[in-house]
Amino acid sequence: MPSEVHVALRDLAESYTTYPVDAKALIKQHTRRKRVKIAVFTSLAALVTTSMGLLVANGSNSGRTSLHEGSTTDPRTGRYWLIDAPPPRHADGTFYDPADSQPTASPAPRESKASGYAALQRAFDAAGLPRGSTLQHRPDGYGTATDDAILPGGTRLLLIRDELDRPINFRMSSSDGVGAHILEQDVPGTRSAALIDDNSPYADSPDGRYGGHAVTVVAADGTTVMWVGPSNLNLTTLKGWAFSGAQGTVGSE
Amino acid sequence: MRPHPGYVKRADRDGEFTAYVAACSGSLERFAYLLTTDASQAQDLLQSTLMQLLAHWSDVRDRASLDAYARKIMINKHRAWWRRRSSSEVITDRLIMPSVPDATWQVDARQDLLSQLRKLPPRQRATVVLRYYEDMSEAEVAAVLGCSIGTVKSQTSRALGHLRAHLAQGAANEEAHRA
Repeated sequence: MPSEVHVALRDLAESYTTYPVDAKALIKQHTRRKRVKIAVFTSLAALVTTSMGLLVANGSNSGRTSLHEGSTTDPRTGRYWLIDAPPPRHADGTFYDPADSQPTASPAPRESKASGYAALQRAFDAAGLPRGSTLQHRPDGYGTATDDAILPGGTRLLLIRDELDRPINFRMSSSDGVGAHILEQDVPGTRSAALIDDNSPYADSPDGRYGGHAVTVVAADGTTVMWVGPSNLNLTTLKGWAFSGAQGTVGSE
Repeated sequence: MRPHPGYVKRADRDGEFTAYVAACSGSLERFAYLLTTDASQAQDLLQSTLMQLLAHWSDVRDRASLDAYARKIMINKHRAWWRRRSSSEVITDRLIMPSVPDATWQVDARQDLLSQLRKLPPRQRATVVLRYYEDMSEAEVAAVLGCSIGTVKSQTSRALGHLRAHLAQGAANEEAHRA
């Protein structure tokens, strides 16, 4: 019997006419989608900021264009990893990234996927989501670990665990103002900070349209948990879950 | 972000990806066709899978496992699609849009097999396709599907039980045709 199935399936597959795939077009599409879809978070992380030591010392953005020896200072809060500064410009008006010549070493070890999933589970358990919500792994996701939190009504929240290896300037995602709407807040009762974005990529839409809300909690060690939900989900509600998830896991990071 | 341990330069990645697509997109598309039983869906599934594979190219440290990884992506995507469509899609005995009419019994047999495959739940369909088209062992199927070997056995048994009657009928039709 199995051999009959084998033959039948092979015959069926061989009868199907395949078409050549334009790999270059896929690469081009991937590049475009990546640029738009993860502009706020992942792409931003590729943009190194100005000297963190100087920012920590000054507590302001005034020194963003000059670098400082103290940039390897140990982080003490999630805000260490977040720079709120307009991008510096060259004389001709183009933007530049001062971190190109000043890499910042990471004080945080890169965690395993298992640790990432465990961290997401802890955040999920502590978030206070509606009863009946479930968590599912997405092995194909971004970052160290990615899960789907599915609410009783079927709404999916994307939970992404990642870690920063250097501070990010979340205003530098583009020169046309993307990121201007992002709020930075401390998470009460923790040393974490959060980025609250009311216009974030949510789904894998082919055209990379925005259409969701996102709250990214950045812990003092640079590890992050990003909560992404659809735009019809109240951002305050999403923020409440993300903050509860961080507050309930204090001491476990 | 810090590069992954399997980080490859973009130019290298694009070159490797292009070569992989040239070598393997055909077999992947056939696999997608068996999963979806629909040509247009198979092409969509292939493209979506390749996009995701490209996005996580650096995550696959062992290039020899690319095929298994791609099939895993494909199966997960297909299951997600199936869940979304299952509330609005009606599964029928016959294909709603049959192919070009052909008097030969082989074409009828293929259409019948497609119809029978469509009746299988996506997990059973994936199991039987991996097991008997991709020639994977039960352990390999379990690894791709993320389940136990026992689950693979039970899913395979149910799928074969469903197909058994169909193939027996097909064999009878073939005999009648040749007679």
